[in-house]
Amino acid sequence: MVMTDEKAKGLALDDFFAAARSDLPEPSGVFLARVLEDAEAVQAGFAAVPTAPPRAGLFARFADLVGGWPALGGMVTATLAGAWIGFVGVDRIDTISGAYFASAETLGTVNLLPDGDLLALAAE
Amino acid sequence: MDMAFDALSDASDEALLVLYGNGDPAAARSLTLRMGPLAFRVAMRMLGDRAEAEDLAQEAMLRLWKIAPEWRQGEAKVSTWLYRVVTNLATDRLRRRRGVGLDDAPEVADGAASAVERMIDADRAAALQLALDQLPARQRQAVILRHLEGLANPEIAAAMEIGVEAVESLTARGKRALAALLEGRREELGYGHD
Repeated sequence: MVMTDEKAKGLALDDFFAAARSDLPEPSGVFLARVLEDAEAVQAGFAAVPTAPPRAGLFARFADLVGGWPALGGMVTATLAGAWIGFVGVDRIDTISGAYFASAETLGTVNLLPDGDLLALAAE
Repeated sequence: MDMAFDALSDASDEALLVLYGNGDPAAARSLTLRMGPLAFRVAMRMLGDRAEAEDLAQEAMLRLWKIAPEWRQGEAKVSTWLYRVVTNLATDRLRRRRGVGLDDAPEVADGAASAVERMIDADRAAALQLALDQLPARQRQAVILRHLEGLANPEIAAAMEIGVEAVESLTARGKRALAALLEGRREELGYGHD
């Protein structure tokens, strides 16, 4: 008897569940519009989040390291000048520097701290 | 716009969420239309109040939007995650409502008794909702997910963050309580003793 009652209750409950499944609560258009509005607002925030800039190439990072393009230009000039001096030899440089500074001394004979002065410094 | 929506209609929930997180506006619309009704429906079943259900479902959907960029693919179904959030939020609200006891539960509409012979599905659904409103929150949650949303027990277990056996126990107790609540209304609801 108890089993029969339970079975009857179960069957009745299934009917209620079926009825509820066929009577789905539908959201209002206003609700969906509000949800979409939230979605778009949050999504706009994703776009506003600053993203890491694209990683610079090795050469550009080296240029930044030495002080940017002007410094790099100076380095290139100095390198080329050094290569040129190495190629043409010191004698030619003497000639050029002599012409620039109108001096009798060549680079080969310049003595910035003569021996006598060095001894005098040591004596002090 | 329509074309974009059509193109996404076959996409999985998870794919849509990833697209949304990547800024795809069509994905926002598709997810709103797909998940918004689900969130509202479950909230409505849990709370039995349309305005409150819409408010809660909007809150749950907002959480979904915010978590999109961090969504870890393959870990959980989007729907399961949403079921969990909606039912947890609803449970919190129900706990805050504790002052409402069984005696305060609303009665079935007065007109129902006079329309016994022509009881229709909507009336049974309404009666069930009134009975659901009187169940403890966790039982209500399990019954709704199992019998109204049609989830399998393992998925309910994931949504409720409990074991499958606990789900079975909650569902069984919930159904017994519902049967008892509806039993007194059998004749009124078109289930006279044969």
